[in-house]
Amino acid sequence: MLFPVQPGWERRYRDLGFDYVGQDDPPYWADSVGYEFTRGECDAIQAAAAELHRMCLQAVDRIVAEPGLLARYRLPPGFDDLVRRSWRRGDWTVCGRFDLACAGGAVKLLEYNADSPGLLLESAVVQWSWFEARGLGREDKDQCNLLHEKLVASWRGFHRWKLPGGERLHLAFWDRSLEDYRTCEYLADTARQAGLEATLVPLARIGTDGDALLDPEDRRITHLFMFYPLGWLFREAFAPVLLKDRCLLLEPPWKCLLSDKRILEILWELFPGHRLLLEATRDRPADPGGYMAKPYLGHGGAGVAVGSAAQPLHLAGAGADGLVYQRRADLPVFQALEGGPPRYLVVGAWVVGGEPAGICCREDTVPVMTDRSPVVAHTCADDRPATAPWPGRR
Amino acid sequence: MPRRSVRVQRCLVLPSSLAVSLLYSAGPGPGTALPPGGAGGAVVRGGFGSIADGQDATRETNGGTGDLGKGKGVVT
Repeated sequence: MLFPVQPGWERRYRDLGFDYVGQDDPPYWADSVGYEFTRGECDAIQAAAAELHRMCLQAVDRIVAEPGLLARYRLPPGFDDLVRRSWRRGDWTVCGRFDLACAGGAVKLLEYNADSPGLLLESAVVQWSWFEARGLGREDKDQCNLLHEKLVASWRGFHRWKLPGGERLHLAFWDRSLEDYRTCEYLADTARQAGLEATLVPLARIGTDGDALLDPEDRRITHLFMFYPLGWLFREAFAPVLLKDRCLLLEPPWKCLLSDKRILEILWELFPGHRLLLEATRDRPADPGGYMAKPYLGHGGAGVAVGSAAQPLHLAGAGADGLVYQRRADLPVFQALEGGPPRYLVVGAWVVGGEPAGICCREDTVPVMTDRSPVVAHTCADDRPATAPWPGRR
Repeated sequence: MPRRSVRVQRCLVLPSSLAVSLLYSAGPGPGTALPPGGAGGAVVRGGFGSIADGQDATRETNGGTGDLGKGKGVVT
């Protein structure tokens, strides 16, 4: 079922900070459609996110305890110790997003966006605005979305834990991305609602005197949320300053073990055959047609290769160090009722403060999502005819 | 699953916060960063972001091609 487009929706979303839609075809935000889940399906996805989160924490505990596992990450000198310290003192984590394949009643982990997850504003604010504007709550529908509330609660806990004296929280974003800027702006807003003093800073304007990180006004940065992959941060020019450990990083250094796609092969080794996991290996598979190759530190779907008879994986991954091979998932495919080719669906499951916090939907005409793949809102309802696919695209 | 509650409206003020960001210009780039610890107190900037900018990209960091978010606007 199509949802009627609301007059003035672009202006309404712009006022919410969602002004990076662009002119893509199909459009980045699909306002006229939505995915419909049953409450039971939402519960299953939330339960999967909670279980995957627990498994990830167990994996981190093993990795920091076993030098052989930690060495596989090939972190720059000194960062093994920083990661271990960060884990052992229980450094605070804000949020992350599991990307899941949900088909045929099964849920499978595709990857974990554990540090700098995109879709935050779209998931927490825009899709909720979409839901409210249509009055869907009055139709006894719901949306699996407590992201905003849990973000504020998480910041409140962080405030009590680390910033009782009123120190400033800095939030850094990559200067060239309006999307990243808006995401950090939204996160700063949630932090302020929790009582924190929050300041945005472009990544390129962070300075150092060789001892500490400094903001553009030369104030010492003591608590820094980086909306930037830790695996990249640790390999850049100022990374040695982080080793002095005088600035508390959010997401914490230990999360680099989870946002790196090596975690997919390590999870498979620690939990072989687990129902929520796809087989993943660092060894090039003999039958590449059944696998996808993903760069360990890639983001936004860049560099991902899909194996097939026509495009063998070894062409994409020639000299293939730095790739994880993950068995291909069965992504559900839906007819595009508004026109155009069928769409593959990937479900994002948010975790905030260690708890499931809601879901979001991303679709594309190809089975690899990128940072430009359209985002679609969702609803959940009590039930749906048993013959309908799981979930239903409406 | 429990019914969700009505949320508190977020209270973002876009124009002022955007204006703050526009005051900042790009840094000198990672190639000009002084080695941390040897700067003698002088403040240098621009030592983060090079992989996203497309510099220092490797096969492992294959997302760092300078193309992330392309088409969805830039902070000017």
